[in-house]
Amino acid sequence: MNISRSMLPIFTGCVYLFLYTPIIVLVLYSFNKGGFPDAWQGFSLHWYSDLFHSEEIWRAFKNSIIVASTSSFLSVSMSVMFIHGQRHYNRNLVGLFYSNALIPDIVLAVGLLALFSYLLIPLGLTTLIAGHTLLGIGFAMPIIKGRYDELDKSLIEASLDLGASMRYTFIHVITPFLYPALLVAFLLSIIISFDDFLIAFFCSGSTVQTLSLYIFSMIRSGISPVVNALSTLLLIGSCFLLFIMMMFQKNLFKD
Amino acid sequence: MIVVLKYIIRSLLVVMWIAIIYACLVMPSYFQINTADTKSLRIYTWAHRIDENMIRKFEKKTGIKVYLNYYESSEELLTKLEMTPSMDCDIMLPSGYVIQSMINSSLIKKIDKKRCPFLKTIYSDFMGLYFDPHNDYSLPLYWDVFGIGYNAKLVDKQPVDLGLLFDRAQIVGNNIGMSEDSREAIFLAAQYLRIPLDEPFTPERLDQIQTLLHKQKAWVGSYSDSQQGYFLSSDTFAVVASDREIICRQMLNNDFIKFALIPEGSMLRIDSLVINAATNKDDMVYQFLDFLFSYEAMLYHAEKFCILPTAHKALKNLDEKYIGISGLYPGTEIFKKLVVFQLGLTQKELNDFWIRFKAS
Amino acid sequence: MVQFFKNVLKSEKSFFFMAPALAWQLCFCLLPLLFVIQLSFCTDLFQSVTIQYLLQVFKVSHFLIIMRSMLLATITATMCLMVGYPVAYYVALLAPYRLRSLLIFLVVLPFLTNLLVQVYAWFFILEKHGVVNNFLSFVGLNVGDLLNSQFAMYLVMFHVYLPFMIMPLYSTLEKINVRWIEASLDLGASYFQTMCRVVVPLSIQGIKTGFFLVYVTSFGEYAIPSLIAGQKKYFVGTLISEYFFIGKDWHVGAAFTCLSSFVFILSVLGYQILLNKLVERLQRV
Repeated sequence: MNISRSMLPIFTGCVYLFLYTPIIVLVLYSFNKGGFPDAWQGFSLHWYSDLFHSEEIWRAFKNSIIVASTSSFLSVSMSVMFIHGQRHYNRNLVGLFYSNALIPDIVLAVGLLALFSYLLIPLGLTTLIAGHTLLGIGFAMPIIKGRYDELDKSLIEASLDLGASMRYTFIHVITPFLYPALLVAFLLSIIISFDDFLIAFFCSGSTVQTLSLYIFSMIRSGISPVVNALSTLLLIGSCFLLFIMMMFQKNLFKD
Repeated sequence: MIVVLKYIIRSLLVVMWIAIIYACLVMPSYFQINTADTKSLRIYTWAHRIDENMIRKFEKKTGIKVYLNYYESSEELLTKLEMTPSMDCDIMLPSGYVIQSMINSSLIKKIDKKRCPFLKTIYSDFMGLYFDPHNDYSLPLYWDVFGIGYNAKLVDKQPVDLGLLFDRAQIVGNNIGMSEDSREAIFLAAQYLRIPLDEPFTPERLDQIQTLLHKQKAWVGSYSDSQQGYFLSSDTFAVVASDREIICRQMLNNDFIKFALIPEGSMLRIDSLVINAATNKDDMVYQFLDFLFSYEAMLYHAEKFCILPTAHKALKNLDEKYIGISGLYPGTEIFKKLVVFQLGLTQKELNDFWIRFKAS
Repeated sequence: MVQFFKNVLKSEKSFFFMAPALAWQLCFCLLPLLFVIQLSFCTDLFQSVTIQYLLQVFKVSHFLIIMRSMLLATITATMCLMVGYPVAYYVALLAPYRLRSLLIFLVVLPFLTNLLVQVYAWFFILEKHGVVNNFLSFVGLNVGDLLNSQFAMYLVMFHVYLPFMIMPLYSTLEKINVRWIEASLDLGASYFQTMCRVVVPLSIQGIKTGFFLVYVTSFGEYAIPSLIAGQKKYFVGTLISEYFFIGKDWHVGAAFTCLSSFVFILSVLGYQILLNKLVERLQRV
């Protein structure tokens, strides 16, 4: 008991170190003046300026942002609508959507590709958004449902008794209460969409390149510190979004 | 009765939403036809073929906006082209054998040679190859050879040949790098086993190739295409099988890296320019072709990416450090030994072969 | 009559809200799966059912690939469980309160980082002139070829999926009241017995969620085997993409997807039973 009392924190510390070493090294070398694999040659930001001047990366970033924001918006709004609609049913209908997060990505991606090709739907931004919305619904539903369950139903009854229509109640009572969960689900959806690689790999057409696909092709051709700089910026972005999420939702990943 | 009605209404609602979703998915493509950026071109190409600075110059000169998109493998090009309706890209830059399939599937249109004054600047050695015998559909833009890159500090054997790849006793270091493309792997194995390439492969010969490749697996560190140059320069492997272009890029920064042709005959690869069958921007396309085949554009790209241009003047004036091998010009002895490899297997047979090889 | 319809419509208003999500699920989740099944069993669109494609994938080489992926997924999940459980236990139950939020934040962040960024980071470290080899040569050990090996692949998989395991474990362990553990220790049980009989059964839901989250996602993994392992052996993910993009044989590709999904579902059920039995055994410790 005493041994484990002191060993556990050390063990945990080591695991955290292991989790973060690659990322720290990555970030450090993005500031390296020399290219890879030269050793540390001094602090410099010129890889970041290279990054900002590359038009390809901006295009990929723009595509990623468009897809992420649209799919998050769609998935959150559809989830809210669904949860509002299923309030009368006792069965847990949200369980229908668990499969989105549980089916291996590759099966989903392959299925979507087959579907789009047979229906002659052109691959592109819209198909990518469709695929990411699917993922987003799978993650947003449980979060919003969890928060909705915490809502005291008598509040809704009271509001209806006082003469408000259901629509009014929804806009002015339910939504403000759900607001933290909505924000968390939205941000989580954005992050999932940004990070997604398989669905973009299978379902993007010839014109759409997202950030993940760009990094994938860069890894294929070797090491470039510009990717280090890009990764650092993505990391800072995720950090920031996660910070906001945690401020709003303490029980983020409950079962 | 009410229950039935309820279910009918519910199904109708779901169907209505499905219809809306479908319309949203298909709508953008209709928009694109009407309101698409009319003064623009979309190019679909390998990485490291067309430079963005050159594109800017072209845009400034002509006012046509050019969008570049990249693909990783020729098959990816074919698959994605067949999926998207043809308005997605105007010009593509595939490698040899893919062009045959594209012609068969009517994905590309004939080139109006009267609008291509630059044709006479191209070496005749690159025209009239098996996949497009009269160059009706494709124009050769760049060419490259597939051979062996090696670390001169570690490799003593001269001349460098396939034994360094396939013979266990001759391996330098622990591992070598091999190509991930099935065609290139089969080519190398066939050359090592001295199997004649102009006859179709019999099943026994295929088995021989498969056994050799299997044996080789024990000392292959990585099957990849574009990473090989990097592995060579970082000392991971002493010998790799790779395109000259990739090795050459490393040679510019590292003296100890060298490239050698296969003595039995290296593979010649042509990157040709094709025009999408459904494009209607022909004027702009030919303007761009003119630009791409111009002397300064070809020379610039050749120096930037270490690729070899097909035009006389550009190739002659290219500094040898961008070629990597002395004397690699059409008409010379070593050029005559190059092979345009036409694999006689169908795609299905090739799949079976390669998957059987990689599965174990 | 019109009033009747109006009433029925009004009562279906709530379904109207449910409809878009259901329609989406139908279109993009159910239909694609149907298409995959149809591709593997029919030559033409939903006609002429045949099993020829299935027979083409019913080969030893393909089963070998599926087994290899299952092995990869199992080892990854088990390693993550072994290492993740103590960490989650510490963070949930033993860590001081203020430290806890920070630790949770640090665990969730890699989960939300782009997968390829993490793979790239490992590529950076493990390759010949990377940090690890520099350190080894500094210490005087032999500089090895760490990249392009099965070891590197397992390492990266473990690193990427560890947060996936820690989070569900944390959320279930957090609910355990520390006093129960104290009570069990007071009643004379050893620390080991307390763990087996009290803590593990209480957290079994988290263990299952974490294990299957990692197992499911690492089974179909594509990016890591193809970038880190040197592509010497095929896994389910790489083979499927090979069929669809390079081989362009969609029927056989779909048949293989169906076959591997089927084996995969069987394995998931098997692991469920195994985990349940394991917990029962632990109860009797």
